[in-house]
Amino acid sequence: MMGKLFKYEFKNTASKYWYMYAIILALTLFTKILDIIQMNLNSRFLNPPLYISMALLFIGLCFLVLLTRVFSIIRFYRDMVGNQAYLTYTLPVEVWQHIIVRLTVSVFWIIISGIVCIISVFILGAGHDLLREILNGLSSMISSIKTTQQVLFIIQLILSIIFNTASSLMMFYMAIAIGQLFNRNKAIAAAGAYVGCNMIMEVFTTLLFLLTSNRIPWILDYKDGFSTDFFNSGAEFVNSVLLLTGLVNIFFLVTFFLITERLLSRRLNIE
Amino acid sequence: MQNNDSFLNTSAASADIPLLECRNLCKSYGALPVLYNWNITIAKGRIVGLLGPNGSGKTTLIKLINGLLTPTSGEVLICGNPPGVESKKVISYLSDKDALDSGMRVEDTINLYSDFFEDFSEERMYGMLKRLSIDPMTKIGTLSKGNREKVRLILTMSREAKLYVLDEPIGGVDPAARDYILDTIIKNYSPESSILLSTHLISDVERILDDVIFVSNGQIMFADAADNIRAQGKSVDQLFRETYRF
Repeated sequence: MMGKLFKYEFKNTASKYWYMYAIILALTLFTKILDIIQMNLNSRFLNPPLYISMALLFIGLCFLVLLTRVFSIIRFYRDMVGNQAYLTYTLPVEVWQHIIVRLTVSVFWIIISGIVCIISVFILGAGHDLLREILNGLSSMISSIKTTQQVLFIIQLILSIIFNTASSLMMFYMAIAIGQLFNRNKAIAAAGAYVGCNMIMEVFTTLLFLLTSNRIPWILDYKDGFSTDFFNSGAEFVNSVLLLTGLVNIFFLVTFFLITERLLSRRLNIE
Repeated sequence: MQNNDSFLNTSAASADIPLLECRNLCKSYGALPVLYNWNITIAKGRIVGLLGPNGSGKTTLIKLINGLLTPTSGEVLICGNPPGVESKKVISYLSDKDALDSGMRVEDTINLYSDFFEDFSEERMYGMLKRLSIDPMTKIGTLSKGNREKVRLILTMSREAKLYVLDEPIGGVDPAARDYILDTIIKNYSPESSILLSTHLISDVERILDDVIFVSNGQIMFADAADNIRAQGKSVDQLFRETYRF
């Protein structure tokens, strides 16, 4: 059943995202063409259309990042506690399967949207000094890491992005699951639940870092001011941060998932 | 008014596990009770009308059967199972709200049902669509309200389910469409299954009913075989009007 759910979830979401990606990439190419013409002709008449196009692209990229998340949250609300829930819960599928499929597909599209943004920036920045400098900086940062740790660093970075995205989305899902318990104003209740959960999470994270700070060498280094040795082991610092935040994110992800699953399977309250 | 605790659909009672059984079922929203101590059993081969005015608890019961709400106390069993994956395999549910995605084509919904329900008959579905002259390639969002209702109903009735639960199946359609819908219900259900349908349009549905349950304010007011009511020289509609007269 999971395979079928994945098939329909991808099918139902793909069309919306492909349109957005096509618009962004078309606008990127248009802006790049204007940019190339301007670089060659250096005409002041081309500045206004170039700046307008760049501004539109910037707004488009911001919207793409924002809308991918907003669509994922709205879709979960509509499918799991809104009108579409009547169809969702008619299907002979476990609630946990519904949640996992929606979460996975949403994370997938959020990451793809991020990649589209990066591609867009690269296309636009190609041939410009700023992009060259950024790439050089990134390259020297990675090459400064010991060879054995480079792979570990990249894997940790990717996993950290995935788990961070998943846990932040899952918190929205949990807030929606809490909101549906109310008989009225479910959306407002969900928003309130989100704010409350966010505050609890912040307090928990702060306490966790305070309690563990004495046991983790890099935090000790930081408290006493960074030493030369510390900068030499910068990669270890980044690895430690990624590892700790990754573990915290996994903990939150699992906790939010379990609460959401319990509420939607044992305390469902569809209007 | 019949005692809530004693209602049993005896007309088809058998040693088999009942298709639907509610035991001391209660549902409240906060301090407000909306279903109070329901005890009903539905055996196979019956068309049961859940009849009552708006706000009497019909939809609440149907949501409890389909697992969309959680009982405050008591239990619902479908073929011996509480609402869950196993119960959903044997219940074909037509909700009072239209949950079909407007962006999907009729054919997409058929594929969806076909993929998820082993008992779904595509042949039956396409046959009914053809008789209604509805093109499977039409987008759901472009269908008229009546045709959309018909598509939802025939999706529901194209399953060979054990229990059909239909919430206001004729509520939003014209009289001609009502006849089609009721004929569809009769033609497509088998003696091995049962239908529980809720409505407040009694006169339209009474010809197909085997049993009736009158509900009011979350309680069962009366429950009996439709033939017993007719034997008293009354129609179900007449009895309903007498029961609910202000």
